Amino acid sequence: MDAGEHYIETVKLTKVFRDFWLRERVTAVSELDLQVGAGEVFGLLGPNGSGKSTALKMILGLLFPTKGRVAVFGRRPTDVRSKARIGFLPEESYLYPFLDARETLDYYGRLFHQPRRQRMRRIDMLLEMVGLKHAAFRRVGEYSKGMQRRIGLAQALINDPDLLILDEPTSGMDPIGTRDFKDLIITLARRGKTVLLASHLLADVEEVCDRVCVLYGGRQRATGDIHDLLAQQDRTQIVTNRLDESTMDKLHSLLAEAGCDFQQITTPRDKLESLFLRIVEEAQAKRLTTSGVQDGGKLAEFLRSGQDVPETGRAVIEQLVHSAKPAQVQPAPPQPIAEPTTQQPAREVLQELTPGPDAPPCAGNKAPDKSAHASGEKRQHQADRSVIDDLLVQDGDGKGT
Amino acid sequence: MGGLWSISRQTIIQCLRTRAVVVFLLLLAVMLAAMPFALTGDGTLAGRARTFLTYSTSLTATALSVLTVFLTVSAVSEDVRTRTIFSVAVKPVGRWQYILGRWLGVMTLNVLLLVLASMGIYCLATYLRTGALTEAINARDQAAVETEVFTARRRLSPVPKNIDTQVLQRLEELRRTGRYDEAMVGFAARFGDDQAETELYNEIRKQVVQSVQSVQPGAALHWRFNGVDIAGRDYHSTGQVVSVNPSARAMRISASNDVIGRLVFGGPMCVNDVEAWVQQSGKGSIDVSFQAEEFTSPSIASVQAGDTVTLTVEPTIQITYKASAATYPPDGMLRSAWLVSNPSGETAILERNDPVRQPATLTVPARVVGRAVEINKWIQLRANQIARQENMSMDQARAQASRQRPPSVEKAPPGVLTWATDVRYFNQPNAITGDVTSVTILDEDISVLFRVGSFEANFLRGMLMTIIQLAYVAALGMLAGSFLVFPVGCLLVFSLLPFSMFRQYLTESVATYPGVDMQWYIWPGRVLVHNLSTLLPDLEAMSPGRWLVDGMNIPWWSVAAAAIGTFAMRTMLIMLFTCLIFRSRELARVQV
Repeated sequence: MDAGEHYIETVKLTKVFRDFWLRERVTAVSELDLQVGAGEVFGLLGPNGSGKSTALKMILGLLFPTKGRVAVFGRRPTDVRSKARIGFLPEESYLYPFLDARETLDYYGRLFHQPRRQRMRRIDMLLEMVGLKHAAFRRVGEYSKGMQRRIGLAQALINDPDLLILDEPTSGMDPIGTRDFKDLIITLARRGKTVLLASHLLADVEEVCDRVCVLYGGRQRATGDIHDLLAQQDRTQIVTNRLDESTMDKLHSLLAEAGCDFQQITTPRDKLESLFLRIVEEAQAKRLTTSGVQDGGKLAEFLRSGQDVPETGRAVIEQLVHSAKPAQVQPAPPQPIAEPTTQQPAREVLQELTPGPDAPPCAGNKAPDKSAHASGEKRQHQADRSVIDDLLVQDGDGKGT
Repeated sequence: MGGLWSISRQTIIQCLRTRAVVVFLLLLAVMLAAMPFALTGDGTLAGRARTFLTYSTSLTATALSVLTVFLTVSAVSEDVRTRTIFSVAVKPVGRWQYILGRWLGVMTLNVLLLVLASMGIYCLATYLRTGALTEAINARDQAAVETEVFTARRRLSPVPKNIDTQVLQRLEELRRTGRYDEAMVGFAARFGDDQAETELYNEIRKQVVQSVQSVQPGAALHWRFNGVDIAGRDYHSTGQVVSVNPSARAMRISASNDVIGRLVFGGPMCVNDVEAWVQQSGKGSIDVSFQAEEFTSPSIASVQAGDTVTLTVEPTIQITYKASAATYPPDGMLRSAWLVSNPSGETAILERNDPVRQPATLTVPARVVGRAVEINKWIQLRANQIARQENMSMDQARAQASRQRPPSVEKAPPGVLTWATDVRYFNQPNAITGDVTSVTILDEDISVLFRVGSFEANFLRGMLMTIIQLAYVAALGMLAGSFLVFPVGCLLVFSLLPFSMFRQYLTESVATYPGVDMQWYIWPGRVLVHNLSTLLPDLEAMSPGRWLVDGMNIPWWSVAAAAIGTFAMRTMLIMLFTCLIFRSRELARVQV
């Protein structure tokens, strides 16, 4: 498929829910026009009940439009050829409780007609990636919600999908899972995969998405490049080492001379997410036991490279794969793959660079990492949420200086 | 097709990991295992085996049907309710594959369970067959269980009698005596002018039928059965000689139940291809005697204890009947003589003393031994009747009886075998009191049976019929589950199933009768029952228990008819509807 071709296209997509007597009760989605291109990370934003999930379900063929048209890979959503290229993570992990994790992935792998060897290899990789290898033979019904989300994610990735559709992907996940998850999206995007995610967790969306569409009351309120939507062109943010009083005075006078309106000075502090991640990583390093999720996050080889290959050929193939990716999703120079062990030094550096209290809530210490990876220089603009905040009534304390 | 198999495989795992299913199956297993010990039937070995076969097969079919309804309805409806369908429906699997895969999964499990249950039933029935659980078994018990239960027999009904002449004669009699118009007035009042003549004719016909099915003391009833095809049905086996008694020209041979069950006590068999007569058969052995000439033949004369001999048993035919008496006899027994003959001129005569209104079975060698002594027996019997009825001397009566030899006894032309068998029933005075009474044997209460196959093959066909039933029930469950929630789906299936299980009864219950006004509010029910009975298969007729219990052969054409009518047409049609409904269903539908 050409880079310019749309993986998902909806035209005047409308969904009206009726009651038992066929009377129109709820217009869940109204005249939605979306185009999601190859390699894009596209976010559907909106408060609860805004029609995000309904739109996704129409795109997946789980609901039929009342009006309008939807095409996935240029075909009907129910076409099995389209479905073979899609991975879907529903808002909750609807899995068979009587199957264990390995059986669950095996079942879904079979539905993709994967050869047994490939299936087994992918299952191993995915279980390791989502940190559930130790619980592979426990029935899914016994899993915690977060563990179920992880196995749900694994099933969505079993076919190395070209289009990943995620409905509230980080709901129920712990911060480590959320972080790993965002890393995963970034990595997949770098490989040229297309991601469509629906969420009301704005930080998640902001961190990973190239473009967003904001829905309210089933209607499309704003659509566009996330940086265009968020940029505050009339402000500047400077991040530096701690300044002494005299330097501060000089800075004040300099700014006063320049006629700038000095608004706020704060001392950065560590983020709760960073603190949490550090504690867990220390515990994992000491090999403390847990029946829950263990150290995961190491991206499955086939998702990194697109191939089920042994370790030895990875570098060569990865190079080849990367060189073949569409230009718009490869703005940053090649980086190490997002995984806890290799990424840790980068994460620490990024933490230092992150403006503490001024960053958007929950953006975490990896935000600049994503900025570097996925969004290029546009992410260097100061982040603000004026558009989203107007619509979604968010706390305004996080605005940058 | 990979997706289809994956779904069916997953369905099997799902079913086997459902605790309710496991408990259900354990209960079934326990009940089946307890049945041979708990059910004794009428106390005889055959009765016990019959009771066990009836209850075990019907319990298995019913239990699996109920289980199938629950599993199939829940398979789809629960996936939709718990939304696990979301993860499956977005995979590259067509919705028809999902439905078919679910159905196949349940059916594979059904086949597996039915095979297990059938093996259990067969093993337990075989155990019962040995008589291990029955204390006193005589040769008749042993023979009955082999020839009436653990066999596969074909049933023949008598050729309908031509009674048109008699009916017309009665009508003429009515006209002649001037009572015709009077009768017509009565019938017109009951059935209307249009129907009066037809109804009068039917009534007279019914009376004639009753009269020709009744027999006065000393007289005989006659039936002809066509198609008693016993050619090439000799049974060959071997036995071990236990002892030889040269003075009595007899041998005791140990033989399998298969051999013993095929023997007619007092009938012929061949030992090393030499004709012998069965004197007695007991548990595991038979006593046979030889004519002098046969006993000295080389293949018999050299036989000693411990030798293995070949045994050849000729096929037998059985006559089952049920007689009712005008006056109930004091001991409840009816004495009779039976003459069974075939066109090749061979005849067997049996004297019986059977209970009134109880089914009784006579077993005779299929060749219906054509010895002169048998013919003479018949002539003697007939002569006795003639002498009593006509007040003749025995010599005159015998001469007349000799002239009256039944037509079927006459030799058929060489090379022409019609396989017809004539059966005559002679009404005899009661053995104790000497009382006489009129006896009625309806045509539907008498039939000729003969072995056409083995119990094992018949049992297998019975299980095939059950599989077809279950396939249909599973399809019905899938249909309900494809658009209804679990409880409502189950309710729908359990509301529809009676139309299949009691089709005949329901159809008869809403049948219209001429002259009987039907209330307007009956009509909707009648239309519903009539149409549903046509749309749904007759599961009762497919139930294997009713065949197996009487050792009746389930013909392949019945299996084929069920496979075409119930499986290929109705089941597949339901599955097609199910796929269409499910295809057009919004799986994430929110009802507001």
